Amino acid sequence: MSNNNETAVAEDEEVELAEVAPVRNEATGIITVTCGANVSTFGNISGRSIGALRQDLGDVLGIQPGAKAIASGEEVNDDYITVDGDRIEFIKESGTKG
Amino acid sequence: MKIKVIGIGGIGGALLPALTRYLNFAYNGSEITLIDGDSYEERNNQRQEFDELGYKAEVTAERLRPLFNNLLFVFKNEYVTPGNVYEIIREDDIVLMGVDNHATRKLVSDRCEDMETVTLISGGNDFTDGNVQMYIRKNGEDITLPIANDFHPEIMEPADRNPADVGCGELAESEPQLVIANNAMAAVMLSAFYSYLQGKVTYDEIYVDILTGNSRAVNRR
Repeated sequence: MSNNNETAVAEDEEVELAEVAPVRNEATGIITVTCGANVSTFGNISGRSIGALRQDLGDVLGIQPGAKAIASGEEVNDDYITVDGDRIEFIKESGTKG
Repeated sequence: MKIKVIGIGGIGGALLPALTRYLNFAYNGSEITLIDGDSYEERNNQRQEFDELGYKAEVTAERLRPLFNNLLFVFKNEYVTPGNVYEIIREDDIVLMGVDNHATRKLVSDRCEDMETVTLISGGNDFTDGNVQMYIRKNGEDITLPIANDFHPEIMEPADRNPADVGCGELAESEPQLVIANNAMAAVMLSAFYSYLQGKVTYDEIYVDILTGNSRAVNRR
């Protein structure tokens, strides 16, 4: 998964990959929801399920029925409960026409 | 350089003028093959540029040939099928694909996965949004993801059919498309092509939404 939170690490310093490349916005409490080209950030939706987000944000973000959901790098089902810092992506299908 | 352009419809037709102009001056001597089994009809006028009816690949190649003397134009008036994909897509090719069905996308992706070195840039759109996928394979190793991958099951297991398998009596009216969306995808494909030539690709795909004005490059590896 893409990640924009890389931090500088000294060459001789051994760190866990997760520390260098976190996928959650833990410090900010923000949840990011992405679908296709569109990204929205929310400060007050943690604790909601993926299924609820799919329903509430479907029209706003163009989430297709049955779209795969990824939470902070892992595929999840509709029962997954979001936590502060999650990066959620509803995978948009490839465009069909041309 | 050998370039294969599969699909000379809304997206393929939109990217060819800029692609051939760029190649003519930057990579003269390149061979560019246009591949499509479809023909221009009057109704295509809404989205596509052509000056005569006939096979899209042939008509377009003949129209561009006198404009760009430094390029060798080849055309194939046929759809890509399991019977010809190995002949059409060869080692070291750069393939730009703007087809209108996932069955062909799957076929071409699978062919590329069997090869040592090939680059596939595939664009597709719905009415106001779409994406461009970039598959780079080098010396038998995937540098980016095949376009048929776990994130895109609609391509892994296409519900539609190769147009070569659809009889004339079965041809359904195509869903409406927007010429502006076709052009947006063509522009992103050209950008991806240029980025590849510069060795700067860092993404597997780019999503575009022309209504919101957003685009997003994604690295899925």
